[in-house]
Amino acid sequence: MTRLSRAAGWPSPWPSLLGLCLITWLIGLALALPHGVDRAIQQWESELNDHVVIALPPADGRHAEQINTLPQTLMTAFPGTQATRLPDRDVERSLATWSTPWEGPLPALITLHYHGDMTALTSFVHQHSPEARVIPPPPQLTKLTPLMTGLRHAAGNIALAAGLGAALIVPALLYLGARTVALANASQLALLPTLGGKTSSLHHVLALRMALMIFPGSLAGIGLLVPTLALITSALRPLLRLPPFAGFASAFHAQTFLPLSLWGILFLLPFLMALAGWGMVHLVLFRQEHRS
Amino acid sequence: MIILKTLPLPVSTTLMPQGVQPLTLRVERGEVLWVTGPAESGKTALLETVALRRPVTGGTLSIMNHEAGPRLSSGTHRTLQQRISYIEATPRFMDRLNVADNIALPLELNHVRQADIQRETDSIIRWFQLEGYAGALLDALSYTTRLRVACARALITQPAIILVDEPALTLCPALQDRLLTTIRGLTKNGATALLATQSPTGNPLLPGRSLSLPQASPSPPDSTASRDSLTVPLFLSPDDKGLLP
Repeated sequence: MTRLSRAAGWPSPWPSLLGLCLITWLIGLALALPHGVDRAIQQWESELNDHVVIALPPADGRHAEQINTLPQTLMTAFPGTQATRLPDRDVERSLATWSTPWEGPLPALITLHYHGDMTALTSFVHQHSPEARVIPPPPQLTKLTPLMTGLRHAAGNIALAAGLGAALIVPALLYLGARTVALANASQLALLPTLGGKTSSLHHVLALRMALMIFPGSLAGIGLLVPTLALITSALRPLLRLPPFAGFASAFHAQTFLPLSLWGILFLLPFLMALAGWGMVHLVLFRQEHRS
Repeated sequence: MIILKTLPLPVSTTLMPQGVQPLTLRVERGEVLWVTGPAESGKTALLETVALRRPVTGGTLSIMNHEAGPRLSSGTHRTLQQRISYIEATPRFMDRLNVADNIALPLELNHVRQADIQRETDSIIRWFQLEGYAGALLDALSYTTRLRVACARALITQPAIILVDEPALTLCPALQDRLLTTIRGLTKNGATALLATQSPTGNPLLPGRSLSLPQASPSPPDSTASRDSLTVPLFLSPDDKGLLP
C-alpha cells in the first residue's frame, strides 16, 4: 500500500455496507417476484385438470371408423391439442369406479388437452359424430383465471414499486457514501497539489476503495436473497402442489422458478453496484474540486 | 528565476491607506532574498503568490520562464509545484501518516524509487533530529516539532525555489541554523530562496539581498489625530485608560 493510500481517510463502512446489503436484497426480490409468480402460476395451471373427455357409443361396425379417425381429425382441426383414445382396459376401470361393473359393450373415450372455446369443439365433434357426448373439464380453471391475473398484476405492481424505490435509494445511498468520503478527505485533497501531487491519484484510490467496500455489501445482499427465495418457495410448495424441496444442490434455479438469465443478473448486481459507486466517487470528487 | 511586474499585494491600511501595494521584483537563480517588514506588510502574501497558492489578480508573475496566470495549464502548474517548496507559518500534513511518511510523501508523488525515498528520508530525519518522532503522528507533536517536520518535507525534494515564512526562522535557534545551512547549500547549487522576517536585517548565516515591505511609502500620519485624541474602546472601563499609549 502506498503512502497516498494510507493517507486517505475512510469513514466507518458499516452504514453503507448494511444499506447496500438490504437494497440489493430488495432489488433481487423485485426482480425475482414477477418471474417467480409467473412461473409458479404456469406450474399451477399445468397441475390442474384440463382434460376434455369425448364419449362415443360402443365401437361396433358402424362407429368403428368414426372412432378411429376422430383423434387425428381433432388434432388436425385444432392444432396444438393432444387427443388420445383410452384403451378398453382403462375405460373399464374408470367406469368401475363410478358404478357397478359394466356389463354391456364399452363406450369409446377420447381425452383431449384443450384450452379453447368449448362450443366450437362440441359442434365440431357433433358434425363428425352426432351421438358423441363432450364432457368439459371441471370449471376450476375458469374460476381461477381472474385470481391468477390479479396475482400477476399484484406481483408486477409490487416489483415496480420496489424497483422504483431501489432506483431512488441506490443513487442516494451511493451519493451519501461518496460525499462522506469526499468530506473525510477534503484536507488531503487540498494538501496534495501543494506537494506536487495529482488529486486524480487520490480520486482513484478513494473510488477503488469505495468499489471494494460496495462489492461485499452487495454480495451479502445476494447471499441473503438466496435463502429468502428458497424460504418463500418452500412455504408456497404445498399450495402449488410441488414435490418436496430437494435442497440447494439439485438445480436451485428450477426449485425457485427463476430462469438462469435472472440468476445471472442477480449475481451481476454486486459488480454493477461497485461500478456505480466507483463512478459516483469520481463524480462527487470532481465536482468538489471544480467548485473549490 | 522569479519575475514580478506590478503584482498587487495586500497590505494593512494602517501601513498604506489604499490597502494594496504594486510590487515589481526580479530574483535570479541561486539568489537569496530576505523579505522584511512589519506584520501585515504583505510578506506572507508574496510567498503564497510565488508558491502558486494565491491567484494572480493583476500584473504579471513569471516563475522559471512560465507565466503564472489563469492560463497556466494544470500540468505546468503541477510541475512548478513540484519545484517549489513553501514552509508555511502553520504547516498542514496528512494526518493519518506518521512523520517519516509525511516527509517521504513528496518523493513518492515524484515517482522516486522506494530505496532512494528510504535513504533520503532517513538522512533528512537525522539532519533535523527527528529520529525520535519518525513513527509518531503529527497531531501528537508540538508546534516547533511540526515546523521541523515541515522543513524536512519541504527540503527533501531539493526544490528550485524555497519559500520560508517567519516562524520557522525565529521560533527555535537550532532549527533556524539547520534550515539556513541547508538552504545555503541548495542556493549554491542554483536554488532561489525567499525568506520572510520582521527583522530589518536578515541573518549572517545566509547572506542575501533584502526587500523591505511595503514598497510604497506609508501615508503620512494624520495631523489631527494626536495621542490625546485616542478614545477608550467601549469594552475598557475608565480605570483602564492607563493601558493606552
